[in-house]
Amino acid sequence: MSYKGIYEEAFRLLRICNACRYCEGICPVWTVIEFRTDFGEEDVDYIANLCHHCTTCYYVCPYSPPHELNLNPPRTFSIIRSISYLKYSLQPFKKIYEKPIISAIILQVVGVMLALFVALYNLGFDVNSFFLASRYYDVFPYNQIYVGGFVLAVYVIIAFLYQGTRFVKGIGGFSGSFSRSLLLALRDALFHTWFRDGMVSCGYSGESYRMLKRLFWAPHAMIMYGMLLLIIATTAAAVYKNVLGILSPYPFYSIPVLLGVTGGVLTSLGVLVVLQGYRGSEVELRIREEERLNLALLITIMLPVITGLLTLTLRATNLMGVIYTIHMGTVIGFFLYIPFSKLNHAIFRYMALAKYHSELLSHELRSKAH
Amino acid sequence: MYLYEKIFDVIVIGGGNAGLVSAISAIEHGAKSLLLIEKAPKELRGGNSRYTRDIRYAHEDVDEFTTGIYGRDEMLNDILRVTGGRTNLELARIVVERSQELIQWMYRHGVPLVKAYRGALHLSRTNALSRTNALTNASFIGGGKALIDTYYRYLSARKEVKVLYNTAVTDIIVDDERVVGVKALMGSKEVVFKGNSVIVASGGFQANIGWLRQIWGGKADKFIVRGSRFDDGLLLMRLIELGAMPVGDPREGHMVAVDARAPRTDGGVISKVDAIPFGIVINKNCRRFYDEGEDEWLKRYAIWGKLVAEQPEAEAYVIFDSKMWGRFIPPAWPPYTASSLEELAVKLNLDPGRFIRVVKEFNDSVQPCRVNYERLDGCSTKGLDPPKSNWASRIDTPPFYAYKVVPGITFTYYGVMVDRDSRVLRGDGKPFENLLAAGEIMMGNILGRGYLGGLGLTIGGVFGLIAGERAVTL
Repeated sequence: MSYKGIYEEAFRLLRICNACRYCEGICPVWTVIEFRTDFGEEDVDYIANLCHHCTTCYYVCPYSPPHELNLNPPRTFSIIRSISYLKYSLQPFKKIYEKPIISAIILQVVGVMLALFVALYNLGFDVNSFFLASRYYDVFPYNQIYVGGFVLAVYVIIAFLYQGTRFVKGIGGFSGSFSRSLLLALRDALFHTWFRDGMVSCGYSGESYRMLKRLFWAPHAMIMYGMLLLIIATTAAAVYKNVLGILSPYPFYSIPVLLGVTGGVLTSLGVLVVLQGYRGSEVELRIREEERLNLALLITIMLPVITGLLTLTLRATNLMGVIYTIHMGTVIGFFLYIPFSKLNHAIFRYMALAKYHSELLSHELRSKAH
Repeated sequence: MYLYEKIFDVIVIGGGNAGLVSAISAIEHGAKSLLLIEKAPKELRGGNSRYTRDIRYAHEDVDEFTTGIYGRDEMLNDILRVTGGRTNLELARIVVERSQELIQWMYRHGVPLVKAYRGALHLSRTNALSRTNALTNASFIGGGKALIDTYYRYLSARKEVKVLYNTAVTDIIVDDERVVGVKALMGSKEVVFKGNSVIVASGGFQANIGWLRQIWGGKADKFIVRGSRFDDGLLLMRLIELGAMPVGDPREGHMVAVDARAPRTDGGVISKVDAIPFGIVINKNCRRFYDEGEDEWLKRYAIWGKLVAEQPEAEAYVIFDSKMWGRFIPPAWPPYTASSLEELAVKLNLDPGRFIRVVKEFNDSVQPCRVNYERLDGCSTKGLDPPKSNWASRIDTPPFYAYKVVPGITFTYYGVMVDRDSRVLRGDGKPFENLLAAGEIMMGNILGRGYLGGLGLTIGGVFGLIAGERAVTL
């Protein structure tokens, strides 16, 4: 379907849904639809990013296929979400969005090549010394890691900020208290509010009632908290080195290693379950664009995790240098790719939730004044 | 022709609310085997109930599903008022008496009833909204599809129940005063199912355009069938041929004004045009024909289908201006829009001269008044026939908007007469011993005309309960 065609479909759907309103109360999507009488592209992008894809509305809708009106909100919103990542991205790099899997792989290769080159440079281009290196800092001196990490972090933060800002502008900004909305949205995100509340029927799929479906917040929590653990682990390592003066390698039971391993495993498992979940769902609810983004994210997360675990197991052998270098390469690839990955969703969803709260707040104000 | 070897305790015809409640009620009152025959394929099952949203019931005290008391007397009076007394008082009383029990029954069977605490948006004092999945908690999701899915889920878990989709009952086999079974068409195969009692819950005849044409002439082709396309009334026709006593006027039914672009059938709620109190309504000849502000909209919306049906070519146009946009729930299709009245007339294919004149006449008759849409504000026209008694406000601020509306038929009232046990009565006033009816097919016993929002499900549910209880004893 063309860009225009997809938005036309979204407008049609929103107008029908707004005339029906039977889904009122399932989730914030239906609340904000009722705040509107006309819908523009900005509303569509906003509403699509507010949707958590629980699919309840699809199952309760009397107009879902094979009905001639052929309404499928989760599918329509999912396609729009994929488009919105592209639409508000750094435009020169939009090819990366269009071909996520190949891009993720290429960036992994680029990262590994870069790491290998730097490591060889550090080792005086002597391949043998790879197998002689016994400490991490022989391969990459701490300064390099510090500077490299800093540059990559700044790059990621700037990219996300830029895209997030464009998204917020694109959906028409906020209407109520900005700071309060951000706080309320943070609560929703951390506690997975809209995966549980309101959605009475997370387990609801027509005639069958799937208990498992009610747990659909779990893989998401695994990914989200896994990622947070990874960030904490990295910070902890920096604290060990700079504050406590302890140099790596850290023992298995140290905080950086434990948190890092747990975070990595949780994240990968979460992405795997999400991917599997898609496979298991009805054809009508499977969205190729979304599956590709998820697969690309899986690749880009799994490779650093696997090589990280390998590094951990092989760190006492003479393969340490090689495997550690590859691991660092995959980490670089990971950072290079994530501004263009499904992880944009974290920013977009968060901002959409914040806008939802800002609309609620200003709506409350208005009704009080009334 | 095949004869199905098993003899069922109970055969239920129709898989909407009334049929499903009958089936569950029969099972729980001891039916050892039950066959439910649904004409639609599984994906489109549920008849008109699929498109419902709320159910009306009397409650003498404040409960968790509604926001206030709605006593039995009040409900009975409402029925008497909207029908103008054209109701079977005994049956109406049964519906009222057992309506609260029905709600408890629905709740027990997992129908997700909305708790009223968040009720600012749509909850009323009289109706409980239904929503999916009560198993988890009290949040709310609307709609009849969830209601019927809940019941089908219950039935699919019962070994003694067999549900057949895509199967149309073509005949009831009667032996003297008893029914012995039904004839059904499964694809091209004709099958006879035998049963000890039969409950008919196959709906009205609103989706049978041929039948509507006999009543409304060529105008029937304009009608939009708001609900299920499977409600063709053929079984109703057959019952009357078999000697069942008809009840109700074939012209009466639940009819609303709907957007002319609505799907021919199964459009449900989304085509309803709620703009009428906010503007004026004219027919093809640019004449107004009824007071758009006669009473609260919720008490009037269900008469507009018939009003429109009575106009030339069964169509009408709702005209309003930009001051009104956003004051009502818009239908699924955008309105015709123009920056001048003349342009709007051209877009609507109406005579611009007459069009401008009717709007001007209306505008000139509007009295200065503070319009308040929250209540009957008495802001009326002066010297206009017919008047607009409330919310009369000049149509003068472009852009101007219009919806073209046609009659949208929800369900017909013409049906079979039943007794208090929901048994179908014959012409001689005696009942068929073991033939029962519930739902739209007997709605005309209680609703001779007019409508009360949410009463259709109540009647179907209460007589479903009764039919199920009685069927096992006959």
